[in-house]
Amino acid sequence: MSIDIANLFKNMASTAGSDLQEDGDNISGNLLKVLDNNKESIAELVEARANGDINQEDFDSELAREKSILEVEMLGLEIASKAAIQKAVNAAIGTLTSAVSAAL
Amino acid sequence: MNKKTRLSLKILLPFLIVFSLASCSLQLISDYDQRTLEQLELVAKKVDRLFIRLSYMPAHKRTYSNNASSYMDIDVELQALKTRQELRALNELTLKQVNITISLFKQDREQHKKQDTISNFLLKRHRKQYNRLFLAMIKGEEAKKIPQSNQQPTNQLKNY
Repeated sequence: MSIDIANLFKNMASTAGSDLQEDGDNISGNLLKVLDNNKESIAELVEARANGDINQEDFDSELAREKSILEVEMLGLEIASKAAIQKAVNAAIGTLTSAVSAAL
Repeated sequence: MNKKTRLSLKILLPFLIVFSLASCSLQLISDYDQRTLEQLELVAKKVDRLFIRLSYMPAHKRTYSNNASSYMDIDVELQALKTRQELRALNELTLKQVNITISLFKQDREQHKKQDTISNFLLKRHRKQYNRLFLAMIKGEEAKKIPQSNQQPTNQLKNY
């Protein structure tokens, strides 16, 4: 059984890296979208209060809701990040397993 | 250790290494669950239907009693969604998302009951907010999907 350890680790890092890069790009795109939605929603709220479309009580309640919605969106991104790390690490372990199997 | 035992170990050890590597996978979050995705899509559709229905009514006809059955139906779906999430291992984040959604929906129902109508501004705004909430939950669940080649069969919650 002979394994080129240096090369194997390079392959593991490369597998994990390419998986993470692809998912990472999606996550940062989604983060920008979430922050944009939040900005737009708060701007709309401030405008409605200024125009008298809503009273102070509704304004306060809507601000609190916005915080909860942002939290749900951020939790979604946290799930996506954990999933990306999990996939990348497992892909690297897969590379290691294949290399060891091939060497047997 | 005799010669025969040493030989057996020499043959078995590499296989043991491969088997232990294959079973050693990182699990940070719950497995993807198709049924959860379907429940999320269904309840998202029902919430959207309630808001569209309300928007078709003139403000004075948007009474709570005219819409109470829709609220109850959505409540039932949200509770079923929550129960399923509670049964899944490593699922705290999705469960937290569902709990926040339930609490916002409850707040809306109470507000509608109290005011017995809902303004155009809040109707439009809350509809958009629920779209964002369900989209975040659906995207979160979809992110858990693993590539077909790495997927291992799982019977977790299959019959729930």
